[in-house]
Amino acid sequence: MHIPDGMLDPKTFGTLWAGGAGSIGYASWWIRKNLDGSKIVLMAVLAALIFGLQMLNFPIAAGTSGHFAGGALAGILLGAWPACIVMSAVLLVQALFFGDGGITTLGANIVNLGIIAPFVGAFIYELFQRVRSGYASKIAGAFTGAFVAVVVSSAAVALELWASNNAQFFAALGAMTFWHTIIGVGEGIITAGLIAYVAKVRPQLLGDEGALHTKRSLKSICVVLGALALIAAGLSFLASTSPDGLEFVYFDSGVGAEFEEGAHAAAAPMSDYLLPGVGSELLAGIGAGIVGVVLTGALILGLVVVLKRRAGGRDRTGERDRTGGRDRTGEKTKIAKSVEIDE
Amino acid sequence: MNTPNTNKLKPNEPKPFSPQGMLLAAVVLVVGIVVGMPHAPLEIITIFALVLIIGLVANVNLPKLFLRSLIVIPIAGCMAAFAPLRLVTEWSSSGIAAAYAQGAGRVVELILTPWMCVLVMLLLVQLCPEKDLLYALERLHVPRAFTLLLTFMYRYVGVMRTQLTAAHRSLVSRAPSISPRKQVLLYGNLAGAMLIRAHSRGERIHAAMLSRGFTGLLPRSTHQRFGLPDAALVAVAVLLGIAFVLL
Repeated sequence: MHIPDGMLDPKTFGTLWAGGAGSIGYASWWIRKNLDGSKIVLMAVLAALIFGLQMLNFPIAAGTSGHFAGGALAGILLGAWPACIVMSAVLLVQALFFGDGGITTLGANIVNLGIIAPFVGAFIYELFQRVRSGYASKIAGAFTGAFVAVVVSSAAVALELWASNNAQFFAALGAMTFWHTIIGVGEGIITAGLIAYVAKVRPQLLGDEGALHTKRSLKSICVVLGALALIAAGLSFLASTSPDGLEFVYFDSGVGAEFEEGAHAAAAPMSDYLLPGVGSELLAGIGAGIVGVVLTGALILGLVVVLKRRAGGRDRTGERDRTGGRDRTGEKTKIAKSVEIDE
Repeated sequence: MNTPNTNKLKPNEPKPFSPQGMLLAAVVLVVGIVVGMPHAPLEIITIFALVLIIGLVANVNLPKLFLRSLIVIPIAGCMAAFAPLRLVTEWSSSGIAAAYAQGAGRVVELILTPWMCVLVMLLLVQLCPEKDLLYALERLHVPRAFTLLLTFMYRYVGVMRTQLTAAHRSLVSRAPSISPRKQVLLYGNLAGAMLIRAHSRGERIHAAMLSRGFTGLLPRSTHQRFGLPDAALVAVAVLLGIAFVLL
């Protein structure tokens, strides 16, 4: 998944370099503020371990093999920001000393493997722990987190290749996610195996009292993922003006013309992904992207609040709670309180 | 009678260029190669000739360098294979074949460019040892937490790789006909054991470092500063880069 030099054009690698460098700067500041010397040494030893673990090749299909990436593992063990630094260090060493991944594409590789993978992995693992804590949940969370992290990172690679005019989007997305779905299973099994072993032998490494564990806040992870989504929306000016494969076939066969007339008659508020009332097409496109992300985020947030309220109103047996989220003593239950705080 | 020690460390010989100068020049050249796409044959010949001449002058093991640089070709090839699909105007086998015929030059370009970039970076590593490059990163104001991490990583990567290889070898020798599924599961346990070993090792290392006066900062080495020869080297790299872009 390491993108070599020459695969991304200047506007894409420049943007991703800026994003990667900014993230490393923030992560360095975060580490200085939150971790002491012993944890930095520990992180370094773990970075060396992840580097070594990347030698683990496992068979996939048709005589090919994939290798362990370790982004999600680092995110689960260290927390997202320390993992960002660890993975970036691994990627820099690989690019500088081994020619694995490019120099101009280092920013892109850091974003894909050093930011997206640890954040997605840590987020999913944390979600599993919030739903139900326990040994099985740790393993399931680790497997799912690692699997999804690999697939999402590979989709990001496809997006970047497409933004650089070096791939047809759906072809690249299909091929990248197909192979990385298989690689993701291997990655998930290794990560789950490792977490299972650690949970049995040294559970404190995964607990709140652990030497590596830093208190992770879902809110901060959501903020970073949201910021990434906004940046992606802002990059909508990179989008090709040519139709995608489906649109091409649709209009080429003549079926689309009739539909297009109907669509114009319906007058969507932001047809062609352009914000109405903005003169510049570039700004209108970026604005529409950002409005779309904000609306989607608001929709998801609303859904979460509604689901939380429902959960707050039910007891463990699923029965409707008629006490307004209060227990026998009249005190509000923990879930009812958390909903109140969110509100 | 004491025999003369031939392995005695020589004092640091003055080098024509500082590590940060060489690193900057290599990065500038790589950016020039990437931004200067597509390349004229003359540019490609110039880059390969440059690597060859510098390698010969600096007594670098050139066959090994070229062999190592080939690592990038399968990866770049896989990604480059998608490029002609952008030229498809008709989604049929003849349309796709026509797009590939039209975009073959682009595929070659997308394979050659990363290869040239990797050659430049591997040449840099041959000319400039790892510890010097780490120093160069520090001089170029890469965040301290990051360089500290890289320094420790540089120290322990070898140790970890040796231990992991030994563990892998013992796994293979004890269970030679294990199924791939079980093998992957065992890899997880093996990695977990390594993690715990690394964790205790990290704690011991930190305790040992504290006992030797570690204050959170590594001692500064006495390397060369960025001087006039370095400025000239970077200027040559910039000019070459501009030439690649303009040609």
